[in-house]
Amino acid sequence: MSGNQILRIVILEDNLFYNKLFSRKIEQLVEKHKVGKNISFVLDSFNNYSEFLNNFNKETNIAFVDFNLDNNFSGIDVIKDIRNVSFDCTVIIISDAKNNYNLYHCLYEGASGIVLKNDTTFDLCSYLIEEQIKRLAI
Amino acid sequence: MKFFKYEISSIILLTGIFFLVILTGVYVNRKISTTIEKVNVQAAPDNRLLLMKSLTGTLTEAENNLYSFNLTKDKTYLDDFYKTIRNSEKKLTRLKNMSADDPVFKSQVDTFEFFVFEKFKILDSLMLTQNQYRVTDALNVVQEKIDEVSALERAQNEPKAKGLSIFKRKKNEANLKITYFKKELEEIRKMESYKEITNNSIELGLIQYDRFIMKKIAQMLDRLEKRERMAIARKSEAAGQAAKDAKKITIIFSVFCSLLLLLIFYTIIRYIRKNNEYKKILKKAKQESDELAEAKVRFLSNMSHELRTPLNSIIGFTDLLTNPESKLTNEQRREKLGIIQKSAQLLLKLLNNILDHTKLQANKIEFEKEDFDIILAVREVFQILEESARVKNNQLILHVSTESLHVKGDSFKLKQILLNLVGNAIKFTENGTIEINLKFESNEAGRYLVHMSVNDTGIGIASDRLEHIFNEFEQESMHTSKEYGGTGLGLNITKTLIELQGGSIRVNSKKGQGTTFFFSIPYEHGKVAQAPVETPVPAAIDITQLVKGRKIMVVDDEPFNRKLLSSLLNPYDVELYEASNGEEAFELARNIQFDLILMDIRMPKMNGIDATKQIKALQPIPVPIVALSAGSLEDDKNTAFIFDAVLPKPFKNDHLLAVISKLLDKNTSTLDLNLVLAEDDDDENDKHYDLANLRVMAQGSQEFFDEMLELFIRTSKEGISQMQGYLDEKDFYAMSQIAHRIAAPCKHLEANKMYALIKLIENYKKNAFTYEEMKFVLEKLKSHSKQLIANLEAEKFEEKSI
Repeated sequence: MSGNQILRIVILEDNLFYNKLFSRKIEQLVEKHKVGKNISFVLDSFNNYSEFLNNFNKETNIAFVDFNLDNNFSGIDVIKDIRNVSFDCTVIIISDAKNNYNLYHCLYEGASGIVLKNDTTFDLCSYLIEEQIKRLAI
Repeated sequence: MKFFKYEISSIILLTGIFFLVILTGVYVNRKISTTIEKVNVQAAPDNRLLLMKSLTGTLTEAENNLYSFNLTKDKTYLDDFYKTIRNSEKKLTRLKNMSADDPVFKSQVDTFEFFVFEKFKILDSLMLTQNQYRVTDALNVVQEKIDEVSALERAQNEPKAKGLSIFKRKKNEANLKITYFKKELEEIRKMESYKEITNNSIELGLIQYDRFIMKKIAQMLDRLEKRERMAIARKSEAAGQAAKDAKKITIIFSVFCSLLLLLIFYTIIRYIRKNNEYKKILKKAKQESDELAEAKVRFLSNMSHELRTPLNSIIGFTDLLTNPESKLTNEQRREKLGIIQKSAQLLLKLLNNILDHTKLQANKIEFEKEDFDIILAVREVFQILEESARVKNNQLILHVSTESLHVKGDSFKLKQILLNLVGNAIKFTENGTIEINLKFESNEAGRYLVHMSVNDTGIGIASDRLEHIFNEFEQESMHTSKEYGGTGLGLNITKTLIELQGGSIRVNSKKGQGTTFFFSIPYEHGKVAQAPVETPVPAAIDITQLVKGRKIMVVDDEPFNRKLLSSLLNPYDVELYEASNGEEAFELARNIQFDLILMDIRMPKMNGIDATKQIKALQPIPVPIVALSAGSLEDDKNTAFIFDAVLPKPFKNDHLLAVISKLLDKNTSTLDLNLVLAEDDDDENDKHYDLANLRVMAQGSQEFFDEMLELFIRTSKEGISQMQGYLDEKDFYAMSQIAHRIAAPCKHLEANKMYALIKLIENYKKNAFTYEEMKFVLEKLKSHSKQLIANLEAEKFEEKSI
């Protein structure tokens, strides 16, 4: 049995409102799933790509990344940067447009999954977090 | 990777379980050994008590020896008596040594020693009092007296020795002696009686004392035995408890081991299952990969033939036409050019099929949602193919159950499906009939389910090939591809297009008798289409006037493409510039104010995307730039954001002119905003949002709730203000970016109208908005958001008041 594990989640979302909302929900989901498990939780959220890059922790377990970012950057750029330093991080692209081509490209570059901004967004996030916590708790 | 991780975790788990079992086993073994040791110690008799009892027995033995000696006068008994005394002394010494660590018992041993010695003293005294030589002593005294008397008589009788007197004298002397002996004997009897009485008294006293001592010894032994019994009872109880503990530990250990075994069993079974699943997946993937590889090989060999055939005719006839020595009449030249044109169209069709297939593979195909009359679309296809059918002496018949059916969906994709199916039917039928049937029904979901069938009386498909007919790169047979041509992708594309729209397709066929394809597609109910779909209509615009004198730059690294575009545009009297890469284009754009740029994407030195970014940054009102995309994935990704329009290669003249007209003529685009802004007049009482989701998320935290509302209000205000700034600069792209950023929160607060307005701005390119239209939508957005924000702030204030 492992000792005290740390669950690190990072959010990159340029919209402040959605960033705050998403962070709140992720916190609630983690608290729900880590009950009874010896797991600490660290959540970082950024609304700026360069700030995200400068502060990205290689040990991050899950990164939720908005597809469309400021200054012509997109989730694809973020995935490439994350994959340069971490292969194990679960990178989830959050998108409000079902542009199959872009999403396909994200997967091609190494995204672990796509979550669309709709009614099922948080259900999918919940599932991802639950799975990650299970993995850490083994 | 996942499998490898699972294997490692299983090994770690099993190793962990193995060590756990060993550790638990060692622990249980130690515990049980300790328990057994305790039981052994507790079950052992008390040696000290045994020794004391043995000593008591020795005392009895000594007593018996003494009495035996007194009775028999056999000295052996006396020797044994003294031997028992020595034994007793030794045993006492041992007993003392054994009790050295137990002060309580040591005091008992000291008392016991005292009793033992007292006992021996008594026995010794008894032996003396019961002296069996007393009679002999008494007889000896009598013998001494007799001897004394005899001596005295001999001394008196020595001078006298004659007659009667002697006889008389002798008689008197005898009487005297008897009297004397009697007297002496009486004295001895008296003495002996006295001694007897004395001895008896002493013996009696000793016997009483002996009884007292023995009683004390017995009491002591009783006490010690009682104490021993109690100790044994306590030890038995402790031993019982220890045994119970051992039993409990054994049970726990057994249960624990059983659970671990179950866990191991479960892990192994799971591992085996996973392993089997992976094997199956791998096997299936390999099989699919082999099949695909085989099909692709077939496809390539087929395609090379398909491409070579029209290319051969193009090259051959081009050579013929460009040869100055060929003496062809104008009629012959026209005929050859016609063949070249048809060959080129065939090539284009083949390439389009491959491109469509690639797009479907990459899930890149998107379906439009437009209102259209499905009957009209089918009739269009009918008209297109009527001539082809007639050429092969086929009768093309259309059966429809209604005159018009307005649906919402992608008309172009429907036409593509029909063109493919009916085109195939014509291809494989000669002197026969091809029927197109259309029926529809309204399903429970409030949609039309349109059923269509394409029936021909052609060559048909062998039954064993039917199930493969929709596979990619598959044709009915090699013979089919050789005789009729084609890529083998058409039906696969058709099936995918139908299924992606939620429909299904099936086929019935008999070799030699014909084929029928049935397909159904669900469509939403549509509105009666607004008079002709408003796309740029070149015919309605005087293109010559529109482009005359305009500065247009063609940027392409391929001289042939530049030449082609130049030759297309030159007749319109445009001021044409050419650049062979992005760098050249940028240099030209710095010095010349262009009206339009046609930009290739993949070019050496600087690609079209970088060049476009730099050129757009040069001027306050960016020049419209059209991407000339070869349709590759990488190109499409970027063109979606940066360019004003995308023209896929190869393009047709009228398509190119339509795009140019659209971009150059600011008044060509019309937008039916009434459709989007149907609920134009905001009712002040209507809030146009719903905070329920936010409340759920806040979970009672008023602070979070307030913060989120403030954030929404602030970012919306900022975003709209920034959009206003960019509108003044006519930077629609920047407006679109901001619109994208602020749209999601509106959706979350169910501010649907605000969301729709923002989305209009975000999709300005798709909507082909002019400056006035953007301004109009932004004004609407500002007005609507002002009301919405006011309502939100009022609600926030009310909550705080409560």
